[in-house]
Amino acid sequence: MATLARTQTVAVQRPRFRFRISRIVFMAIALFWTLVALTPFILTVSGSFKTKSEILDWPPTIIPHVVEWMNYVEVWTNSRFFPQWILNSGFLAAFHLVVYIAICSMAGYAFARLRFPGSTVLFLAILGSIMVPGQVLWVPKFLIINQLGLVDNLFGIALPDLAEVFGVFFMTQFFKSLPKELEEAASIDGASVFRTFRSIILPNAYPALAALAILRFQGEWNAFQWPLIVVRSPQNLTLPLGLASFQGLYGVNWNWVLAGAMFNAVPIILLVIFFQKYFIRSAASSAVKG
Amino acid sequence: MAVLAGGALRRPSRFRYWRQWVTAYLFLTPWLIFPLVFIAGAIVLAFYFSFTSYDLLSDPVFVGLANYQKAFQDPVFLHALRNVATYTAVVVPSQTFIGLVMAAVLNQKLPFRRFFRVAWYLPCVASSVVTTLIFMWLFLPDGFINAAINFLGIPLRINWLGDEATALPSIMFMNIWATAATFMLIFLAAMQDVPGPIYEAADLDGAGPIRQFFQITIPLMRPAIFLVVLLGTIGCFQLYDQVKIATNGGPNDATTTVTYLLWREGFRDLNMGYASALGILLFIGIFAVSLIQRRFLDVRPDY
Repeated sequence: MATLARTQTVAVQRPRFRFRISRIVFMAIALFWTLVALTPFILTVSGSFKTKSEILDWPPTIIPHVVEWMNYVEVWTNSRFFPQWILNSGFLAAFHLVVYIAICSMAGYAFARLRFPGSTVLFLAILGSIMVPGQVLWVPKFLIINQLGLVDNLFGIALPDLAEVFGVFFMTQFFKSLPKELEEAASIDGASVFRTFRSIILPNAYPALAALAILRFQGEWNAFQWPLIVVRSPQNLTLPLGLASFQGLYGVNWNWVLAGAMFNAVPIILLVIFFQKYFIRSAASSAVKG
Repeated sequence: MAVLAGGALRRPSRFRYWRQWVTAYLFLTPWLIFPLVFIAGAIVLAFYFSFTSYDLLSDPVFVGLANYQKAFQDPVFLHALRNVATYTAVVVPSQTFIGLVMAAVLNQKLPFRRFFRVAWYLPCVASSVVTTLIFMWLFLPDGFINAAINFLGIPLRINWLGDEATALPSIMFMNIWATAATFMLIFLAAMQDVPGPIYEAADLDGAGPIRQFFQITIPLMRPAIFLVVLLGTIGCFQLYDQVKIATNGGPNDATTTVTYLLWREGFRDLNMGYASALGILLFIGIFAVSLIQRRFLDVRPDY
């Protein structure tokens, strides 16, 4: 009896002991990676408040001796077009939030609920197009917008970006998950398809629309590759392009470059902090199902 | 009865069917024209221009397979292929491993889990321009990376992005930092799908957490691991932003990638035909890797 009790306590205690050690190890890894992930951002914030001379100091200081707020003012005033870049990126994001969300939720609804010839083939073709790397299309897309006279024009960025496939795929999956009874009731009452879509389906799709809106905002606000090909003149640059050109122009004035970078990074960081559920759910679903 | 009902309904139902598909296309068209022009049309054009010599100023001239032949004799392209291969061989295993470890950590009931998740995810959502600029600054000879190395007692002042030997490894580091958390989320979703009773059974059998991780979690996550490797490989093949912003392919083509060469040939030197051929080669490369890995991706966990 005594031996039995002893073996029992041993059996219970050993996993508990291991569990504690693994917990400390896990916590240590977590803290280490948090340090790795956040340090560059923290140093950027501190660097953006350093004076022109302090940012060149060796060894670099972690906390600035003097807090130089003027970097944020100077980055805004010294390069003539900085406010314009913010407006341009804001316009791209806003245009996509309205137009892309509208047209791709309609297309998603058609794929999810309406029956028409060619729907399966078309949907598979759209899925397959995810395989095509964006860079393959740079040359032909540029030649097309050149024909349309949209080179060095914000619409030359915005219109080709509407071809983005992910949103339609995302909305199709979402609409398929809605219960069919919603529309059946409406169609018995004699509502047209469009009316049903607008007044029954869309109000029930707010979570999906919000997730898509956040992702699209991030996509357009951060876009780099395609805008770099389309726009050239300084007043037409987007914020990321402008920041990248900064580094060539003001190579030495890293305090301005870092302050400028904050204008691009802070809106996105706030979005992630407030809407992390949307980000994480859609990032995981896009990857697993796409 | 059934026949009668069918006969009576046929005409209205056919009309309704026709009406429905018109409606469907009305819903579809506003979006569909964009992928038709900018994806489908563009793919056709990409193939066409890859067989031509075209500089935007004069008309395209048909040159057959000359652009493809040129690619495989172009020392810069071959060098770019080698750079991409080296880069992929280091970055994919690293980000997969880090993503897996991070997901395993987040899957524990640690305090501050939500904080960790946001903090780790921030590098993925900041724009590539911002993260690249930040790292260019950290990698300066007078920057924090060298300062940290000196702090550890090694008196080195490396010009990380300016030196042929360290430029590509620096970009690797930057990208592992920026992308690991994306893959962590995929792993985390897969880990949470593993049914709990399996672990309970393992607990009863006396398997510790580490053994459970290697003998239950990892085997059941095989599809997710292959997916991450596939997505990671595709991402590595397309490496562009960091190269364009930080090094412009230099020094001495040490960081030139296929996509960077495509940009340089197409939009700096206006060799649109050659650039299209490079694009098609990239497409073929990515397609081939996906086909190879699809065989593994179709593996479903067996439980």
